[in-house]
Amino acid sequence: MNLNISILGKFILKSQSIAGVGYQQVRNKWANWLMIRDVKRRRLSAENFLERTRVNALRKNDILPVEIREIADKQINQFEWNATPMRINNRCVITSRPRGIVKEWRMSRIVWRHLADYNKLSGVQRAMWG
Amino acid sequence: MLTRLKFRKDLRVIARCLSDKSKDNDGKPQVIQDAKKKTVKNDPATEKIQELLKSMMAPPKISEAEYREKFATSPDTRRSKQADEIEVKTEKIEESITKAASDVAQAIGGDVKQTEAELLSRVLGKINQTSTTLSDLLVGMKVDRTIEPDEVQKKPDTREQQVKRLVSKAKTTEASPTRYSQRKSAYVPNDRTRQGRDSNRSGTPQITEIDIFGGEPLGIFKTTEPNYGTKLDVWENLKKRELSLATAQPPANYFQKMILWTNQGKVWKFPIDNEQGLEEEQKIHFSEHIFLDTHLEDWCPKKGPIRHFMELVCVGLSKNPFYTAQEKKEHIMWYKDYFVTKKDLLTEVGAWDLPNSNKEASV
Repeated sequence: MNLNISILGKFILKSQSIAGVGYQQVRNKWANWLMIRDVKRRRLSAENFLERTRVNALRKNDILPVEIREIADKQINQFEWNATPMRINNRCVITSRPRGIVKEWRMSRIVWRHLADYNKLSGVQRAMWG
Repeated sequence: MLTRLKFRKDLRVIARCLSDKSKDNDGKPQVIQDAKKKTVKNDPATEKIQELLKSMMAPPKISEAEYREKFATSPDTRRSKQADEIEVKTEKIEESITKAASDVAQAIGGDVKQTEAELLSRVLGKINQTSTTLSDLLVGMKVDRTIEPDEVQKKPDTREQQVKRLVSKAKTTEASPTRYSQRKSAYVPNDRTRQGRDSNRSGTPQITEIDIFGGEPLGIFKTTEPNYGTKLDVWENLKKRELSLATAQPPANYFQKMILWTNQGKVWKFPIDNEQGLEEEQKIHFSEHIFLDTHLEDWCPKKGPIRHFMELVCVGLSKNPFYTAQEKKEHIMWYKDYFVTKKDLLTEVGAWDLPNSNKEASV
């Protein structure tokens, strides 16, 4: 049984490397599928940012006629959901932890503490006073 | 040592004994006697000859000029005269040149003798050369273009053939010279004349040297002309890229890695400049960032909500330090396109009056 599987594995999928299919462990450079989603959202937000702000500006004013504003309202909902910057989640860059992020370093507190202890963070020192 | 010397002496003696000189020793007195007899016989003749020669050698009683005057002599040929004249002339010229050189050297100053020597060497060297140069000799010569039957077959070896020959030679010599290999090298399928091949094959194969840049240029294209040569920018850039990729090694240390990243733009350059990457923006004047009403001139109505809105947009952009001037213009143009597409609706509403038309009553 095991021999058969290994033999099969050699013949299958030399051409396309589809993640998850085949007998190989899937590897990405991101820690988490959630992280991958976050990356995708950031990318799409950046691509659609200009268009969205302009349409939003048409919406958020009381000078233009109402009709224009209504049209703009409808238009902004036609963008993809992932183009919304509100969906971006500031996760830890290394561990993909959603909570307990030290914003300036984009890391979770645990990783931050680890690196600070090993003197990898510039200007970070153990606090003591008094 | 001594035995050797003795041996050599003995050898010499032996050689002498063996050589024909022994016979001459016998014949020498005979020869001498013969010679003496001969001299005795020819004495008056030889004496006469000798007297004549002596008289010839002796200085003449009459000088040449006197002789010419008195007696009729053959007329002077040009050559002899010219030779004399030329000699005299050259002597005079040389003298004048030396004088001139010395004057010049003194006038210039500095190392007088050295300058004089240099000048003289340059000038006199040319005079001392013969008038008949190689070019003069070659002018009269004609090229022999008759093709001999032997040389028809013998074509000069091309580089390819030479190399092949050398390679085959190397192969045969390094391995054991078996009969088979010898036969192979000796056998040539289309060999018409043996002479040609033998002459081609020399102990040291001479490679015909070709100098590409030896000849004179035709002068059709000049470097100063504007369209001289073709420039393929893309190809050149690709070549440079290929070269850099081929020669690039992975970074050996951290410094090289940081250099690589800096060049790629992943790392900031020191000293830190917030406007890194926006060098071209420095050249654009600030007025282009602030006075954006010019972009509204053509299309925007003079009064109404749209004008109001666009003016606010312009104010906001003028205060924006992060956008480039081009981006700001594009921003305004986007709004123009947007409003133009919505023109019907706007005219219906009454917000969009064209710049030339009259004001309409608002709804």
